[in-house]
Amino acid sequence: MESLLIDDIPKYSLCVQCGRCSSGCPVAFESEDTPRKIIRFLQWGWLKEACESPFLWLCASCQVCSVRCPRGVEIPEIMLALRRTAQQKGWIMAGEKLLFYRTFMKMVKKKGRISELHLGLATALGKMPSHPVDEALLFLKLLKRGKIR
Amino acid sequence: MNYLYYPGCSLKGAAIDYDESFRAVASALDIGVEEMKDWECCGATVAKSVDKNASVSLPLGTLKSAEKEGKDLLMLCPSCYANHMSIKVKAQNDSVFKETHSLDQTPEIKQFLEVLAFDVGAEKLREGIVRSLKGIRALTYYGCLVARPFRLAGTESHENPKAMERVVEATGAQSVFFPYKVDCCGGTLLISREKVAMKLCGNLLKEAKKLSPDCIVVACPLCHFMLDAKQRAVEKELGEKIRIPVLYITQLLGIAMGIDYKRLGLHRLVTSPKALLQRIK
Repeated sequence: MESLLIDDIPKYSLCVQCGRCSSGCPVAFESEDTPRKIIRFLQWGWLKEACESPFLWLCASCQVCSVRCPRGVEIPEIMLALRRTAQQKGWIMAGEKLLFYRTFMKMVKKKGRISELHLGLATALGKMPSHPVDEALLFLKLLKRGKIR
Repeated sequence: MNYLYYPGCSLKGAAIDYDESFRAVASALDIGVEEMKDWECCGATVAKSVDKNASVSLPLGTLKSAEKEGKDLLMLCPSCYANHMSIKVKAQNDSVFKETHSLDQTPEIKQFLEVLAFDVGAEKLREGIVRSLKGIRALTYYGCLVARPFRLAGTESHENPKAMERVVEATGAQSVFFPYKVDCCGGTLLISREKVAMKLCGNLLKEAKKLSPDCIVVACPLCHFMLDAKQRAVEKELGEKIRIPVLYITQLLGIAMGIDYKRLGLHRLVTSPKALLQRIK
């Protein structure tokens, strides 16, 4: 069993497994795991299982779980800490390329800011857009309206 | 009222109309706004996912420059707001953190919505209305981060905030209660998990349509992008027409204050507000 040495996974031991986080979670429908389950993994010391869960990369940090948690567990912070841990330990879920995250940070480090145009283009090149024609049309509309420059 | 304005990346890009309408409204209300020079991206949720140090140092830099200028910070993007607020709260509660990052005093941070709804207030807003929006039904949608995890004005409910309703009702329009008003639009997942994002946004637009509002009012650049610019794509996925214009709260207020449509950036909306504007005399 991997010991939980990671410095910044917050307060998961407070969780009483009531499941309020998961009942309000807007993305839980997409994953077999729920926030409650991930926290249970941590309580059991199953760090690797928690890190490899596809749920980590689905979390939108919408904060609905954290404001509803009766124990004050900051669940989105746990998900973010697990994302970082997963990268440190190389426990990234199969198929997760993190292209968006890497491109974003590269841009911030280089220019201090994000250009939505460049971010969109750079990540679009890494995957086939699901509706290429519509995306191209939207791109033109946004360009015409001065929303991308 | 004088603020140091931190725009953030979106307000300089796809949400340029939010920036324009905010400036127009602020100047009409005599709110002093000075744009921060050399601001940096707040890191959104991305820095927090991959680089802990950057997720602290980026917002911290902004707080320090505001501290140096001795001014309170004004933000329009709730994602930027939440990131800066969490560093501010950390500094307030953790003296070691405050010391190590040599913050003397943390500046106030406000969303423009808070300034409108609470500092200026409905009464004063009403005085500036020259074009009443009576008869217009505006559906108020907050999304995640406007009202969570930090309460608007420190007091508003997480589940049923009323700040936008105050502003909407001051214009004479009727605010339409939306049971999904604090649900996530999926915007933050648009690039990394497109299908999930489209599903979340689709649910919202479908439910909004049932209430047949004249427009949807938002206070977040990502919500706006999803509901406005992505509306055609959502219609395709749902197999039904939505065609509801989506306005920033500043745009709706600006219309009622008689500000020129172009200065409010209304020509930049992807879903046309023409039908709505025709109904306003």
